[in-house]
Amino acid sequence: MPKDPARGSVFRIGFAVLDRQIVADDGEHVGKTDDVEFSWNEGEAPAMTALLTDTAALGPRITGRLGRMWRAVLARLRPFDHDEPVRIPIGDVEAFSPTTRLSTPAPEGSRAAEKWLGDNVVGRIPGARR
Amino acid sequence: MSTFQASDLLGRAVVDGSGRRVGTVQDVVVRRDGDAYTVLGLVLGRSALAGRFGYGGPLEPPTPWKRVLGWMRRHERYVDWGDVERLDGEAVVIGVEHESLPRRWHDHED
Repeated sequence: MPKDPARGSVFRIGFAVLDRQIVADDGEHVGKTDDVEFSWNEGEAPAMTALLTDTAALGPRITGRLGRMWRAVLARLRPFDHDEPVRIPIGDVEAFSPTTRLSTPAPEGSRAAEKWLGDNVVGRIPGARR
Repeated sequence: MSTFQASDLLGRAVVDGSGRRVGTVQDVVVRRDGDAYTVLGLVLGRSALAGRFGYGGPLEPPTPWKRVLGWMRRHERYVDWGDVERLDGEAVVIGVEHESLPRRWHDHED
């Protein structure tokens, strides 16, 4: 990417945004960018308006039968307080390189899926608590 | 105003002005101006594998990899957003012929 990311830099979201670690302003890891939201008015170019993170956002990125199964399992289990992905407005992003840095604290509900899996699946594997 | 997600585009088939299938959407190119991120166009191709190595923009691969990645990305093309005609069908429809599409998306940087 060009040296001044705030002025006219052009990049591919697959290179610079998707699957990148998101870090809050206090250094806390928020998760990874699982999807990107665009807003669009007819006749204009779309604008990137939010990052979507947490496991619920990952399902649509996985194509085919595996992605459908993932979404179906989440819908049935409903293990989290929310089954929608965490949405981070693009205005909260300070920079995309080398990690996605936010100018705000970690959003509420971030990493909910990861925490649930850690407590209820990984944490129950013998030896996991060592 | 409507919204859509990158996952709605990535992997979708693309059909050109003559009705021929020309690949799938591999990536979305955006420009940042302050806090605004505007879509400039789409990268089309047949496989996303070569793009996962991180080369292809301003970052050129080392010589041993250049030919290999170049071959893997030989089908890659860039289509300007202004040439995208329809998104609401199964395939993305573009209003230009495949042969007229440029290969290098990063030629659109300032």
